[in-house]
Formats: sequence, structure tokens, C-alpha cells
Amino acid sequence: MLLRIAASVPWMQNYSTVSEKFFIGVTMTLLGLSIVFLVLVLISFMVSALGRLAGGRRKQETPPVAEPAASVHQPAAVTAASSEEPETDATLIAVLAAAIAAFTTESAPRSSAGFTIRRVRRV
Amino acid sequence: METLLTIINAFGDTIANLWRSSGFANMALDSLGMILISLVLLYLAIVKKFEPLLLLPIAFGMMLSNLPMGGIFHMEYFDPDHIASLGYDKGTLFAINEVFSHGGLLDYLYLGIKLGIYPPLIFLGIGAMTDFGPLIANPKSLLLGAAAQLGIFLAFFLALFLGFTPAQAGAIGIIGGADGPTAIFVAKSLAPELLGAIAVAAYSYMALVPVIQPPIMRLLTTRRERQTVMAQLRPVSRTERIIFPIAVTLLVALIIPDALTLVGMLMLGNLLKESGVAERLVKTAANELMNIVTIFLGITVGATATAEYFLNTSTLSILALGVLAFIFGTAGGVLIGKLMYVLTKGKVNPLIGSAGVSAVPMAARVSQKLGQQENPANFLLMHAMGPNVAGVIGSAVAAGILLMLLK
Repeated sequence: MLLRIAASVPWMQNYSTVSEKFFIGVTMTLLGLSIVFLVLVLISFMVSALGRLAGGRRKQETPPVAEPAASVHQPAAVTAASSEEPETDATLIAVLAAAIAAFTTESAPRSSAGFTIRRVRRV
Repeated sequence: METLLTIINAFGDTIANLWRSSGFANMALDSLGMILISLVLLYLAIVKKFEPLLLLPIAFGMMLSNLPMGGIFHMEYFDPDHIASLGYDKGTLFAINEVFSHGGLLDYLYLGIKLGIYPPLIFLGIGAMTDFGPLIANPKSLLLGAAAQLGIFLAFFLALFLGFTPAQAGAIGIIGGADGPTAIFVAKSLAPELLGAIAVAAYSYMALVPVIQPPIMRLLTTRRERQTVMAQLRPVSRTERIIFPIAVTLLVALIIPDALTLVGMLMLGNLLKESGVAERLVKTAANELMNIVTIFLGITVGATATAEYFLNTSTLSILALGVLAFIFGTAGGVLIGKLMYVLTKGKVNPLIGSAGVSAVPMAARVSQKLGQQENPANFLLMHAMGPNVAGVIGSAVAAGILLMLLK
């Protein structure tokens, strides 16, 4: 509604003088940025509320998943590698395989990615 | 003998006519210049791999529409001044009779842009490929997505002073949203005569994000800030993922109705993906449909860059303003990132702020790369994806605002 009002005001009809341009430019910048912020902050509140409603319930259902995530001070990849029995973690191996494949094909595009991950050992 | 002479004369006339109706005889110097520009863009797309999926069809479309006598595209049928001179009512989108009686292939395909069909369909595909998980896990990243829209409005401001009308300035400013379909969607409404230059600027700069952003990010942050390691994101439930697109559509559409088309299609694509019940549609939206539309969009956007509309000083101004918009957008995101670093007492790495300009996933990769340069144990990619996808929503909202105020 605010925008409808702003759109109906003829503040953009004249844009020949420097002061008119300055006025339009400043008004547009302030108006535009504040509305973008308003909308995204509202979405942000909504997502937080959603997290408390839908995400919170999930936390209670699966405490083992939520707990390490909260107490971790290390980056994601290191954490994953330090979890118990990484050798059996199919997801980790898939991630590592993709990383190696991406790296090898980037540095030598013609080489085939013919490798197998046999063992993953924490350094 | 006389018969022979007649035959020779007829033969000569035919050859002369053939020559007169050939492209060689009708090639204007400026069209030749445009063809050379299209060859440079083809080089950038094929050899330098600058957004090749778009730049290649754009460059080829540019070449096709600048070749004389082919009649594949008539930009004048879509030029508001020319349409008015043909006697159509003010506000008519295109010279309807001319397009349908003398139009070429690209005139018909261009209707998909003129009528605003292609960009929302691309958004459908983007939605079907986007994971909003990092954003849902860290809703504060939406602030970074909003801050990075600063470039749009500052470029608008500067464009006014360079002599563009407010509508043209809005279309130029949207380059700072770093989102090709959004830029095309806004430009086709606000300044169709500048569409070619705006699309070329938007897609070229998106490809140049890894070159444009790092110096600004380094300039605005301290080494200590760049080394900040962020805590792992929480897992996001399926319920949250499903409710998110529905709730965002309702909220955005009710506040900014002009953003409804882009945001609505983006969120439909995402809901198809997250619902998990429409896998066939997701595949089509994210692959076949998106690829088909990309070809149509690229070739027709390129075609609008005919010599008459492209070879002028405003194109140079647009290219300059576009890069400034990217710079301001990056700076806006990084500065709010710094503010969040201070407010959270060092828990947010300001480098993720630059990812708030859309350019998915290139901008997020830049954040990751810079973070890792300072601290090899730093993994910012997922954290930067939050502001990155927030930037897509942010630029769609900004586009809605520009359309609402300037149309």
C-alpha cells in the first residue's frame, strides 16, 4: 500500500535539474533499500518462527544429530572426518570422491577420474 | 546474335540484382562493427568460458540480427517511438500487424521476452535447483541478501546524473542485482531500447564476479575478520523446507505484488523440488524446460543489440554503471557482514556478505575461496549459500519495487 501511494505521487515527473535528480535518486535509494530490508527482515522473522515450530520438534526427535552440531567449534569437513568410524560413512566417502574428482579434473582435464577410495584415515 | 545479347544482358541484370540484394552490398559499417563485437563475445564464451550457456546464444543472436537483408529480427517493431509513429495506441507492446505479417523467427521468439514469459520460466528452473536449507538454518543471512541490493539503487542514482530517464536508470540499476533473468524482466518493461546492453553487461559481470569481488572484499575486511571460522549450520527439517516457499510467496506477493511473477515461479520450482512428490516435473523444470528457454532467451536478447540501438555512448555508460553496481552491491553485503561480525562478537565471517549479490553459486564460491586463503581450515561455502540465495529473493523484490515505482 505504501508503494501504491509512492507510485501515485508525481515525484518522478521532472528530472531535469540537478536538485530534482538528487531528490529522486535519494528518495528512490532510501525507499527501495528500506522496503527490500523490510521484506527480507519479515521473511527472516518468519523463517526463525518456522525454525522454532517445525525445526524445534525435529531437534527433540533426533537429539544425537543436533547435539554435535551445537557444540562443534571446528569446520564442517574436519568435524565429519573426526567422527567415529569414518571408513563406513558412505556420505563422507562420496563427498571426498567428488572433491578429488573435481580437483583432478580441474588440474588435468584430460586425465580420467579412474580412482577408488579404499581407506579414509584421519590425519 | 541479338538473342545472344539479350541472354547476356538478362544474365548480367540478374547477377547485378543478386549482388544488390546480397548482404555484401547492403552491409553498413556499424552493422559490421556489431558483427565484430559478436565475434569477440563468441570468443569470450567459447575460449574464456564466460557464462557460455548464455553468452554464446546471446552473441550469435547479435550476429544474426546485424546481418543485413536476412529479416530475422526487427527491433523497430518493439521500439515504443516507432510503434507510436505507426499509429498504434500509446502503451502497445509491439507493432502487432508488422510482427505477424513481416516478422522473422526472432521476432516471434522475442515475444517470449516482450510478454515477460522467459525470465519467470528460468526462475522456475532456478527454484527447482536451489537449496534454501542454508538460508533457513541461518535466517540472518537474509540481511546480507538485502544489503547487497545497495548497488542497484546507487547505480540508479548515478544513472540519473548521466542523463538517463528514471525508468532507464532503474533498468540499468538492476544489473547490480547480479541476476540475468531479473535484469531482463525489468529492462523489457522499463527500457526495452537498452535491453541488449543491459543483458550483455549483466551476464558479462556475473562471469567476472571472481575478478570484481575479491579486491573489494579484501579492502573492506581485516585479516582477522577473514579468518573467522563459522559454526556448523543446524540441520533443516523437511517440514521447514516445504513451508518456506509457500510462506515466502504469500508474504512477498502481499507486500510487493509486482514481485509476484518472479518470486512466485522461483518458489513454485522450489516447492516442486522440496515436496518430493513431483520428481518428473522437477527434472523438466530444471533441465529441459530451462535449457529450451535459455536458448530462446539468449538468442533473442542478443538480437536486440542491433547497431542502431547498441552502438552509442549510452552502452558505454551502461557497462560502466553495471560494474559500479556490482562493486557497490559487494561492498554493501560485506559492510553489513562486518556489522554482524561485531554484533555477534566474531561469529560471522564478513566475507559471506559479498555472496548477497545473487550470481549463484559463483559469489558463494568466491567467499569460500577467500576465506580458505586466509585460513585453510575455513569452510564458508554453505554459510555463503545462505546470503547467495537470499540475494536472488532480494533482487526479485528490488525488481518488483522498481517496476512498481517506475513503470
